[in-house]
Amino acid sequence: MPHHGRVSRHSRSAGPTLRQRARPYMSLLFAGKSLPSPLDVAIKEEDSRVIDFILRISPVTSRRLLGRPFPQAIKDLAGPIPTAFSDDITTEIHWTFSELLHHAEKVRDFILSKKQIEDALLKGEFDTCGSLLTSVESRLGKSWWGLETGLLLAQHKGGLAANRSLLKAYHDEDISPWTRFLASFFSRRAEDEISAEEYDETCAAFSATADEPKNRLRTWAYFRFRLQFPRFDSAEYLPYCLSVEESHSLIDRYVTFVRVLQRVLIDNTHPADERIRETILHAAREIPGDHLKLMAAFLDPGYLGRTDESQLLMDLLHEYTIGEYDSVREKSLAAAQSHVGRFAFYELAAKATIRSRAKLVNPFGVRLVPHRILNCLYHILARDTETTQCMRELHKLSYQHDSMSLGHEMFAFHEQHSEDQKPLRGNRFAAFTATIPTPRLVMAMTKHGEALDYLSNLDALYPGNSAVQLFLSTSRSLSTGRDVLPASGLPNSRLLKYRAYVLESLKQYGSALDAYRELEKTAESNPMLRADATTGQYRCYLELDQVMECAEILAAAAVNNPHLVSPHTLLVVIRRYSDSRENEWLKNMAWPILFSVSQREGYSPQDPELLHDVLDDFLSAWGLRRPSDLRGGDALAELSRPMLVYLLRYLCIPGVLDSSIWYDSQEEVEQERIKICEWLSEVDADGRDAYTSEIAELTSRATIRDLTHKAGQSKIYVDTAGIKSQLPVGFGDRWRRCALYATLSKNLQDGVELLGLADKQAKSMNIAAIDEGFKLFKSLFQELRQSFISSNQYGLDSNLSQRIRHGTLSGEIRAQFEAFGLVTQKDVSGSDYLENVHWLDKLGVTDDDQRRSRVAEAFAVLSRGVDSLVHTVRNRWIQIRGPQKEDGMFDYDFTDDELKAMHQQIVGLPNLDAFTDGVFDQLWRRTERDLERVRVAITERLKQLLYDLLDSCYAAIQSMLAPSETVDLRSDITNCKQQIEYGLDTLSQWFHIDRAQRMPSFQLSVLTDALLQQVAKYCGPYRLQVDKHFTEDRRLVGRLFRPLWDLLFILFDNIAKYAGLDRVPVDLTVCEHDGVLTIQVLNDLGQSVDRNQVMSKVERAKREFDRGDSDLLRSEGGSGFHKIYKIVRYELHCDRYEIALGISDNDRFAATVELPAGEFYDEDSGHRR
Amino acid sequence: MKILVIDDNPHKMRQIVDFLKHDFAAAEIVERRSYQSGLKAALLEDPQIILLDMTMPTFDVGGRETGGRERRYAGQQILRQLRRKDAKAFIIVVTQFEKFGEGDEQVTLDQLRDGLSREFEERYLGAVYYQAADSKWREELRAMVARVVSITTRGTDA
Repeated sequence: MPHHGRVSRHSRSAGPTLRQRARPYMSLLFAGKSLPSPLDVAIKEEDSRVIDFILRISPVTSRRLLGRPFPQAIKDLAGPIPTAFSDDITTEIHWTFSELLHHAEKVRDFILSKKQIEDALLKGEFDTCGSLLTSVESRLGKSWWGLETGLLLAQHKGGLAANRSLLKAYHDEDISPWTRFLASFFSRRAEDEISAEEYDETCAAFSATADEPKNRLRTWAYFRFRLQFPRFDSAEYLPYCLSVEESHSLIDRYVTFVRVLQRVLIDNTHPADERIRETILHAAREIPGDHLKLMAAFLDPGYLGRTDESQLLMDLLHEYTIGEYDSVREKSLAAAQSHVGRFAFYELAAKATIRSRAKLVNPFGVRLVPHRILNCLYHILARDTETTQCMRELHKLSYQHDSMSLGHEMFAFHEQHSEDQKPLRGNRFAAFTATIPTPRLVMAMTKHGEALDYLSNLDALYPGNSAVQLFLSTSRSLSTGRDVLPASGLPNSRLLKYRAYVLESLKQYGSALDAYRELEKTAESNPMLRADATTGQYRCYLELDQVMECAEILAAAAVNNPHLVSPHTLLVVIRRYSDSRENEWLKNMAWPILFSVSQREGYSPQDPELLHDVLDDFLSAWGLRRPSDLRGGDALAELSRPMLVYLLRYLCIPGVLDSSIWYDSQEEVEQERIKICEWLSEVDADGRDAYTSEIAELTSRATIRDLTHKAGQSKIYVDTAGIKSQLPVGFGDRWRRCALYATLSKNLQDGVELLGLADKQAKSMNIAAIDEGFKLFKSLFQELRQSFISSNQYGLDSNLSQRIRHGTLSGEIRAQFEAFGLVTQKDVSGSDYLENVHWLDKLGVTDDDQRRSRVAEAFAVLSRGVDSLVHTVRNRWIQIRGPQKEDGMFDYDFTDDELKAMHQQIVGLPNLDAFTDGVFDQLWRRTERDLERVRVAITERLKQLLYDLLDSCYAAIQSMLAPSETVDLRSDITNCKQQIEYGLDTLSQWFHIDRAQRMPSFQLSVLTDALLQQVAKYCGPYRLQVDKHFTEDRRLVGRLFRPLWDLLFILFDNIAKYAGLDRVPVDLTVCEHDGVLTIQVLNDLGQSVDRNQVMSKVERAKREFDRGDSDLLRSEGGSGFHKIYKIVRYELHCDRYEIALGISDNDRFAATVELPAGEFYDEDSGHRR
Repeated sequence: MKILVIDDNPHKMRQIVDFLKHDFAAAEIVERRSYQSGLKAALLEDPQIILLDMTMPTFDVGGRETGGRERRYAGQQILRQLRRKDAKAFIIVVTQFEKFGEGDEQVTLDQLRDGLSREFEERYLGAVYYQAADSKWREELRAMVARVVSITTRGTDA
C-alpha cells in the first residue's frame, strides 16, 4: 500500500474514546429519535472511525443513519433521505465515504462484479451478463445502476421491444413517480435510435428558470447530474446530489460518490481542500476502483501502482512513441479484445492503424458495441468522409453507455475532437474519466512541479519508457522555459510535433509556427499529423492576431479535407469575419470557402443568403458581378486551384446565386451555373463526370420549363389544312360559279329566291329579289364556317374540348383552392361534398362543437360555388354561341352587311385555295376578337366571382368564430387570391391562337417530365407515381408536340380521376420495334372500380368513333377515349395505328398506342435510324 | 423624391401607386415586382423611400419565368441587404398578411414589427397592414411618407 505522508485532522490522539464521542448520537438514535440540529450535521463531520463505530454498534443506528442501502425490490429503491443535509461538499463527501467504508467489502464486491458485467455485455455474452446482474442484485439489492444496466442489456439483446418490455415490467410494479421517471429516462437513453442531440434536447427540460424555488432548482440539478453527467455544470449542487443519493442503494451511493469526486477535480472547484484530498486517498486504499486509484495518483503520485493492464498499455505506448506502428496495431487490437472495457486500447489501435497506413481490420463482431467504437475512433482520427457520421455515433454511444466507464471516455474523446484543444493542456473530463494512469494525465496538472513529480514516479514504475521520457522532456521544457530535446530514437514527426507544442505553450508563436509548418511538410498523407499541423498554425496565427492567415490555413486544409478542421475552430474564425469584415479581407477567397464548409458539414445552419453575401463581398472586392467574370480576370492569378474549384463547385450554385441582383431570371442563374460547370470541367478533370451530369440536368430543366410554357400557351387551334383537304365534292364547282358571278356587273347578279307557294292558287308564289352572287358566296362561307367551328376532326370546338375544356380548365381553377385545402371533392353519392376536415381541425371546430355543421356547410358552399363556376366557364362561356348556348363567347354570327363586305374582299381571289384562306382569315379575326373577350372575362369577371366566393365563405365563418380563431384562414384566403390571379393569368394565355410556329424537336421523356408536373397541378389531390421506361427516346419532330402532349394528358388525367386510388402506381413504357413506336401506360386500379363498366366504356368509345359518332369529340365529362382516337387519326395524321384500351391479366388498366414511327423522328438531330 | 414600391400583387401595387401619385404628386414612383428586381432597383436607383411587401417570389413572374423560389421573408432579406450595402433609403413594409412563416417559425405581424425595429432601427419606419377594403393603411402610409419627406427636407435645408 503506498505511503501517504500527510496527517488527517481526524487522526487518533489521546482524547475521548470512540464510544464517548459516539454517545451524544447513540442515545437519541436508540430512543428512536431524530438527531436535532446541529447534531444531525455534526455527525457527518465526525471522524470516520466514530461514524463506523456508531454504525456497527447496533442495527438500529445503522438503519436510522443509512436507510436502505440494499433494497430488495424496485419499489424500495427510493426511500426518504435518512440524514440532514449539510450543504457542504466536504461534509457530504466525507459522510458518503464513511457509509461506503462501513460496507467496504460489499463495495469491493460491486466494483469487481461491475467490471465483469460490463465486459460480458460488451463481448455480446448477454446470458452471462444477465446471470451476473441477477447475482449482484441478490447479494447487493436493487439499484439505479442495476435498473439501467438491465435496460441496456435488454436493448442490446432484444432491441427496442425488449427494452420497452422491461420498462413496462418495472412500471407494473408499485413504484413511485420518482422511480418511474428515472426508469423511463434510463430506458430512453439505452435506445439505439435516439440521437445525442435528441437526448440533450429532452434533458434541456431540466434547466430551471432562475425564479424557481430552491428545492426545485436542486431537484433539476440532481436530474442533470444523474441523466446528463458529462454536461453537468452546477457544482454548487454537488452536495445535494450526494445527499439525495442516501435515499438510494449503496451501489448508487458509490457511483455518485465517484462521480462527484470526478466533478470536483474536473471543475477544480476545491483545489486546496485537504479533507477532500484525504478522502480520495483513503478511498483509493479501501475501495480501489479504477477511477479512485487514478484520482489518488493524480493527487499523490506515490499512489501510482502497476497492474498487468497498465503494464501492457505502457508497453504499447512506448512502442507507439518510437514508431513501431505495425506492432502496436496488432497488439492493441488483441488487447482491446482481451480488455474490452478499456478505451485506451481502442484508441491506440485506431491511431496505430492510421500511422501504419493500414486498413482497419476490426476484430469484433459487427453487431457488438466494441466494433462500433473502434470503427468510430478510426474514422474520426482518419478525418475521412465518415468522420461526421462517426462523431455523431460516438456521441450517441457515449450517452447510451453512460453507466459504464467506457461511456464517459467516449464522450471525452468526442469533445476533444469537436473542439480544438490547447496543446499539452488536456481536456480535464478526459483526464479524470480515464481508467489507467498514463503520462497524459499530466495535462490536467496546473503546476509543473506536480507534473514532474508524477512523471518521475511513472518513470520509476516503467523505466526506459519512451512515452514517459517524451512527456518528461516536455514538462522540463515548460518548467524551464527552454526547448529541451527528448531522448533520440523517436520518429521525426513526433519530435516536431512535441517541439511545436512546447514552443506554443511557451508563447513563442513565431518559432512554433515554423515548427508546425515543418510538421505539415513531413505529415504527407497522415490525417492526424496534418490536423495537428493545421490547427497548430491556426492557433499561433490567432494568438498573433493574424486572422487572415488563420482563415487561409483553414480554408486550404478544409478544401483538401473538411475534417482536418474542428467545428469549433471553424466557427471561431468565421465569427471574426462577421464581427469585423475588414476591407482587406474581402478579396480573399478563404472566407466564402470557410462559410461554405461550415454549412456543408452541418456546423452552422443552412443559410444560402449568408453564403451569397460572403461570395458577393469577395466578387465585389475584385470589381466583379458574377463568378464567371473571374475567368480571365486579375483575381484568377492569385487564387489557388483547389480553392477555386471548391468555390465554383460548392458555393456558386443556383441556390446561392439566385440571391444576387445580377440575374434577372432563374434561367439566367442556371445559364451561369452551366458556364461554371463548363469551366470546372476544364480545371478539375476528376469531377468531369459530375459536371457533365449537372449540365445535362440543368439543360433538361430548362427544356422542361420551355415545353411547359409552350404547352400552356396558345391552345386555340383549327386545322384549316385538314378542313381544306376534306372539302366536299362540288365545293370547288360552287366556288368557281361564285367567282364567275363576281365578274358580272351588279345588275347581272340579281336573281330571285322562292320564299314559298301561295295557298290554293295555281302559279301563285312568293319570291324575293336576291343577289345570286352574294347568295352563292354566303353559302360557301357558311359551309367553311361550319367546318371551322364544328368539324370533329379539325374544328375549333373539338379542339376547345380536347385542349381546354377536358380536365385542364377545371384543374387550373380548382388547383388554386386545393393548394390551400379550401375545397373538397364530392362524396360517393356525387351530390354532396366531403367535409373539409383540414380546415375544421385548423379552426379548432371539434366534433362536439355546435358550430361544426355550419362551418362545414360554409366550405361546402365554397366547393360547390367553385365547381359551379368551372361548369359555367366550361359549359357556357368556352362554347360556340348558338340557340342552346347563348352565353358562348365564340360568336360566329355574321350579319349580312358583314358578309357583303367580306364578299367584296374575298370573292375576287384567284383560286380556291386563296378563297378558302381568305374566309379563314376572316374567321380568325373573329376568333381573335372573341379570344380577347374571353381573356378579359377570365382575368376580370371570373376572378371577381372567385374572389366573391372566398369573401362569402370567410364572412360566413367569421360570423361564427372570433377573429383570433380565423387568422390562418384570412391569411390563406389572401394567398389563395394571389394564386388565383397568377392562375387566371396563365389560363388567359391559353386563349391565343396557336399559329403552329415551328416547335423545336423534343424528346418524349422530357415532354413526359414536363407533362407530369402539370398533371400533378391539375389533377387534384390524386398523385401518380410514374415509373418511366424508355428504350426509345430519339428526338421527335416539333409538330408532334401538341398532339402527344394532349394524348398523354388525357391518359394521365383519366388515371388520376378514375383509377380509384389516392396514389396510383403507373408504368409508362416507350419502345420501338420494326418501325412501330409503342407508347403504353399501365396503372393499378382500386378495389372500388367496376372493371366491367370500364370495359364497357372502352368498347363503346371505339364503336362510336368507328361509327362516326363524333359529337362526343366535342363534349366533356367522360374518359376522353374518343379524343385519343381523334388525336392519333387526325392530329398525328396516322392512317395506320393501333389503340388498345383494356384491363390486363394482372388487373391493371392498359392503354397502348402503336404508331408508325418512320416520319416521327427529327433526322436533323442526328438520330437517323 | 424617389419612392420605390416592391410588390408582386398587381392589384395591391396599383392601389398603393395610385395613392402615392395622388398624395405625393411630386414624387417619382418606381415599381418592381420581385425580390431580385426590387433589390436591384433599391441598390442602383437610390430611392429615398422603399415600400415593400414581405413575401415575394425571387424573380418577376411572367412568360417562362415562374418566379423561382418564394421568399417568405423577402422584405426582411431586402432590409438586410440594404444594411449590408449601407443604403440610405427609409423602409416601410406594406403587407396584407397577419402571420408569416410556418409551424414553430411562424410569427405574427406584431412580432415581425418588433423584430424589424430592433434589427433595423435606423432605417426601418414601420409596417402597414394593408387591406383593400379598408382605408386605414392609407392614413398610416401617408404619415410615414410625410415623415420622411420632412426629414429629407430638413436635411436639404441644412
